[in-house]
Amino acid sequence: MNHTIPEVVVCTGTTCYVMGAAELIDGIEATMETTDFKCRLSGSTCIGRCKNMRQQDAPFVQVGDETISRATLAAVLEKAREARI
Amino acid sequence: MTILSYATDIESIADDLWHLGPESTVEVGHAKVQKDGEHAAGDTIRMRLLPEEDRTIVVLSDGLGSGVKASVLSSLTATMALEYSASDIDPARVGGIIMRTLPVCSVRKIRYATFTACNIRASGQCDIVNFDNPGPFLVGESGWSYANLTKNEPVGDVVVDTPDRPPTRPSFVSAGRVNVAVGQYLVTVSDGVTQAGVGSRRFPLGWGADAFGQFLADTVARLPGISAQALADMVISTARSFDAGSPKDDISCVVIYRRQPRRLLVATGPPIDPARDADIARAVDRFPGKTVLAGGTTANLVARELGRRVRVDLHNRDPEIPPVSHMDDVDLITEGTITVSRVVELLESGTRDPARINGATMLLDRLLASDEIHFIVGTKINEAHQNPSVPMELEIRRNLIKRLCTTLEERYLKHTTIRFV
Repeated sequence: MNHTIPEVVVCTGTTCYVMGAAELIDGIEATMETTDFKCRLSGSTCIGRCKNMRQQDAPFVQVGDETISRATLAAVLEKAREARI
Repeated sequence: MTILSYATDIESIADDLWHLGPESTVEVGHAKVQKDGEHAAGDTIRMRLLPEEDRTIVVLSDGLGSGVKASVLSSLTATMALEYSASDIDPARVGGIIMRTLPVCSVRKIRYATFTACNIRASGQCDIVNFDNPGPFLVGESGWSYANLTKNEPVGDVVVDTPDRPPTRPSFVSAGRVNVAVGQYLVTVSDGVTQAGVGSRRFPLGWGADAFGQFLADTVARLPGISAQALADMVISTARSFDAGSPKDDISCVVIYRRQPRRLLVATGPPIDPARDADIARAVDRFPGKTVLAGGTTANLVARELGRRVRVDLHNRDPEIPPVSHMDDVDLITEGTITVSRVVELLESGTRDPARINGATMLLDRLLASDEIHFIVGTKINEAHQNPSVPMELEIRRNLIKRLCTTLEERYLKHTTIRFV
């Protein structure tokens, strides 16, 4: 089976950081250290999704081509595992 | 704080910032240790910045003897010399007034404290009044020399109340005007420095003024651009080491360093008119100093205009302060609102946890390492994190930067400008 390692981009802009991006990054890193979960993790100064009054949907995380709003660690890991298959 | 508004102006910020003045600034560093076994320092250093007159006055005084008595003498002398220098009183009169004012020592029956007052302008013109201190020393890349003080004026007599000496001894104060060139240091010390090591095998007669001058020249040649404070610290630690770590006299040093100002540009927030984007990017690109972008939207704007990439740095994360980012030829990129708010808090409280390094402490370090700080503040409501129920963000950014500048000017003696766009 040829696994591709998924790209995970966590928005670290002001709103996303306040709404939990810091904990998400910690959680993703901890998962990679303690399980066989792998992804290419990076940050973004702003992925531009909280325009048009959608800031209540922060934090935003991009997994591959998809954007997860109100992202939780579980949702990010699940999406990344799907992207791997 | 100079506030300029460019919102409706077509003038270019990039061109404006390119032609910055003045060309030089004056940095002061000082250090001292007291004689071993004493609880008070007998040397006093006082200084004052007169920004409206573009003058910095620094005084070093060495009181007779050591300990509390010397401390009283030198404090009185330094304070008087500082006040008189600030009001441009004739040096000979200053010396005379001080000599007549000092109390007579009950043991030695004389009244005495040395002083050196340096009155320097940003142009490098420096009026020096010296009464019995070594030097002062002018040091630059090409070596060292004594500051040429040509005028020797009688300041009245030192009162001597002992049977084996004449009742008074005439004393003279030397004065002169020197030019401190950009890149030069003017160093004043108490005789605890030039006499350091006296009686030792290496320096039976003490370090000596000439050897000390050569030490300064060698140090500046070895460490070009060394800060005034670092040089003062080095003088003190070296002199102390010659006294085998236990100083036999009060040791003090003041360094004045004239150099090109360290300039910092901080761009934060998107401009109200997107046509200004390219101008801001160009201002960042060609700014004659260090550059900081505070805000993700600002960073993205500059990256887009200059065709560069922003990379978020996920190392050394902080639970409260968002991470910094990197871009070619930009010295620091931080998040905006949270980071700048924290910087204001840290500056106002004056305390910080040295173990905690994040975007705010990195920005703080940049600010404190600069003499002139220029802010470009975008006044557009940031749609990336504007909550419609709190339509105050614009005012918050404006006021936050104003508060930051006020603190930087009043408590940290920085020069600041703000350009609202």
